Amino acid sequence: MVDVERALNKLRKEMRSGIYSYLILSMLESGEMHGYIIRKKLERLDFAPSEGALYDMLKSLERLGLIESFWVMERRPRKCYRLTDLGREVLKELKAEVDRILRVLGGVGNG
Amino acid sequence: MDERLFLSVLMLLTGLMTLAVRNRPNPFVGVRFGYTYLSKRAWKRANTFAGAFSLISGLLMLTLYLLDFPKSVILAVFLCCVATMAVLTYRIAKREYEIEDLSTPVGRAEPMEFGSNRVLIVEIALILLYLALVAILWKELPEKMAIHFDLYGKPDNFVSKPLGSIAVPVSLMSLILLLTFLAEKEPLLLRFPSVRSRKILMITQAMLFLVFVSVLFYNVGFISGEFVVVLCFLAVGVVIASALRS
Repeated sequence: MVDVERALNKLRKEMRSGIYSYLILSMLESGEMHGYIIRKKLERLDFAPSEGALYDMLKSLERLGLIESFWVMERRPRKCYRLTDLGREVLKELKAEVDRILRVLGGVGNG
Repeated sequence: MDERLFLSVLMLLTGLMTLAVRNRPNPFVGVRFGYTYLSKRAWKRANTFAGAFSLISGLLMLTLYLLDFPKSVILAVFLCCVATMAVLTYRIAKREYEIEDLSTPVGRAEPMEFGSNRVLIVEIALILLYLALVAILWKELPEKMAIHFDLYGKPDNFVSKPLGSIAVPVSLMSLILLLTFLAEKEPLLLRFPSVRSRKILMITQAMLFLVFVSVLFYNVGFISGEFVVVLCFLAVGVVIASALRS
């Protein structure tokens, strides 16, 4: 039973990490966005990572050059994110990939 | 006091003091830059880490002192610990600030203004102007230059001409230039984010220029040591006033 839990947790984590990255890139496709808004949108999808996990994901996407951050001023400096040209290109590829995955999963589900 | 013991005790005391203020943000003791000034969470985490790190480093240095390690080894350990602590503490504070940012509702935000690149141009121009002055005065400058003075204007530290006229002044002025450049990329590296920090840095650069030029002029006999000291105090005053006005 412990092994089942462990395997499930590992697979869930890997699967979610990819989905989060895809969702973040998709959200930023429509325009720049503050990190708080990204988190709220993920929450509305009933799919919210912790702040720490989201921070690590944003950093990782930034390191890959898919998004870039910049500061805006409210009462204090706040960080916003936007898609880079590379991010836009990668997102296009990913969308096609996700469509294929959904078709395959749909097939498996029906089959 | 033995310098090795002094450094070890200094590290230990810094650690204890930093830990003592880890829950009380203040402008005097602790890790202080934009992130920790603006976020209690960043202040607490950064200072808890820095305090503990400093305490452990101090204990390590004290052990090396008791085992009679030479001064060079203890100094090297001290410098490594300070550099590692600075980098890690900055990263912790930045992470905590940004994580807090992710959970704080966002209101109406304005683009962050960093001012024009005129600040950078002025700072570069001041370095070039200083170098031009050195080139003009090079033959007049003594081989051993006075670079430090006591309160009465009597020189108390001498270095070689290349070090005193070029290496030290240009390094310091380049450091200010680097900080001005970084202020846009990492605005919270400094205490005052955005335009203000860049203005303060530009004023600091101008004051450094004046001080280094006055040292050059002293060494070629144009002005007295007392004048250099008065100018230094004036320069420090101008920088502090510009920071307080911000």
